[in-house]
Amino acid sequence: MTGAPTVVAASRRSGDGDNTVVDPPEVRRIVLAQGIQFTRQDIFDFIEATRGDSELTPEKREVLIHRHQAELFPEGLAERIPGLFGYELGGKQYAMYLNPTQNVLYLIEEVEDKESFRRALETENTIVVYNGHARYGRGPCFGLPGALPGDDWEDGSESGSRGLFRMGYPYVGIPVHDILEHGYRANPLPGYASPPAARDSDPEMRPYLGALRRRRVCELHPDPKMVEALAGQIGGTPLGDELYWTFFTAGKQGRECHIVLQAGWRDTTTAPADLDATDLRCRMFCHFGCSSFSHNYRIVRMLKGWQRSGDRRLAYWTSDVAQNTASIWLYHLLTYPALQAGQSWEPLAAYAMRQTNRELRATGCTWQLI
Amino acid sequence: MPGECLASIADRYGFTNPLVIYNDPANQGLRHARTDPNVLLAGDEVAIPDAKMRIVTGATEQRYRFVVHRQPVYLKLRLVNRDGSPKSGLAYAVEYQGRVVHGTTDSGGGIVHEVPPHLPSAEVVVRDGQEDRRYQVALGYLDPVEEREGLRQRLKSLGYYVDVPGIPDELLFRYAMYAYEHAHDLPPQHYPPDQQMYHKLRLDYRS
Repeated sequence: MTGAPTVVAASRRSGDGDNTVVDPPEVRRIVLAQGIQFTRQDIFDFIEATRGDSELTPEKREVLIHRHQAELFPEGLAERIPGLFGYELGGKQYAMYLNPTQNVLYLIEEVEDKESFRRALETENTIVVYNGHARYGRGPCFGLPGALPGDDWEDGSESGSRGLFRMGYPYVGIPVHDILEHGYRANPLPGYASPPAARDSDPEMRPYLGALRRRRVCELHPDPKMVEALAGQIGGTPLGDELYWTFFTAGKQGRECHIVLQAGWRDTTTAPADLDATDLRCRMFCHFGCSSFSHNYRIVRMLKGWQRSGDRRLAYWTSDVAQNTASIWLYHLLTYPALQAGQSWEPLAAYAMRQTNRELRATGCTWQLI
Repeated sequence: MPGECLASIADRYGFTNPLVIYNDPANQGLRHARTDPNVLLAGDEVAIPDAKMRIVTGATEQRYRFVVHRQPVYLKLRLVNRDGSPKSGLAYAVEYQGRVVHGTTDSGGGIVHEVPPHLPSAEVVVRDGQEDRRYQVALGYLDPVEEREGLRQRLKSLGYYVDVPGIPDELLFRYAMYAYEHAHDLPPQHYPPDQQMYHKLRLDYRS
């Protein structure tokens, strides 16, 4: 052990008695970053909405409420870990948990804004867990409770604290309904530009590269009102001749039009809140948005060059559409039943991943951690 | 004064045994309040009894040898794992006032070393596996367990209280109590805790 000595008060003894000393626990910090529509207030609102949803059967309602409650921090974790101590300070939620077997004191902080997330990524030895939307691979995204339509779903109405932290491929195919539903201003790839190369495209868009077509705004939606709204959001005019790269997919709800948006991870519209401008110094980064392995693994590991080194620069991802993963992961991380203080993090992380995947499988989830 | 204990007070006033002071009838209140004579609180009133004159007769032009039986004062630490098992057989070094004393923890995880009665601190370095664990031991600064600071000090030594920059001490203290209660199946409580917790802490800390 290096650094300053541990200061302990003791009595001078001239008879019986002792001064007992136990190795001080190692302190580890976890930042749980809750993305847009995943804030504490949002979860409360979901719970209330579920309670009032008369279309649900009582059983289904209970299951959903329980699932939402498990996501509440710190209550959800405290429910499963009796020694966990949650508290509120300055309007933010925190928790402490001393695992005596690990001899580690975990300090967990919940953040709901982009700047705090970015700072956590740049903090040595921190475990950063993002729990939120993947935004089709564009990156973690933050917003106020209630998630009103607007730019918080893209670059952010306040670029420092809300909106995307971009860490995706340069080009991402986004369904028109997402742009319309969330009402943000988007940055489409104009038709006069070259079509995106496969290496620059999000993996979910690659199968459609051969089907890319330049289309006008009026061709992107059958409803003229929607066309007008869409034109305003992508910087075009409803009946204008501006062309954009687009493609159609066949989904469960029929054909769906996608627009190719300019996204990326370096020199982005959200810099310095993007991957390239961030000095990743955290010890572990968990991106638990949907299909994050497919969307972001290669960007972070290969292009950014944030490669694993022993038990440093650990990173974990989801394999598919995912939800409620963070609370399960944290539970298994915190309850790892072996000494951790001064030890490698590898067995801890391997255990947490194994147990989380086991629990996900046992509860019928279709995604796994990678 | 902070850092004082009966041993240092006795030494200052020329008493060879601190218990002479502690057991003096004038210190009945002190004995009642401080059941461990080695642990005082700054502000405690200690009555110093008059020194007893001892008359020794002897002839002139003779040499006499007087032996003073002074009660020794020790730095005593007991190093244990979280499960209470002793950290025995570990090499250690105790450093103070330019001296370095080497040893090995005994079967109970103990480090016992005689020190000057006024020694304010010592550094203890323990070789544990591949690591050196360093402790700055503030001698005489342990407050009674019934005091908030005394409770905090013991919870810290037992690995429940940790100084963490940026987190209010009150929260760290509350959590340390909570974690200790939880680890020992004690009923939840606020400061000041009940006698059950004090009793358990005395047993665990051993003073």
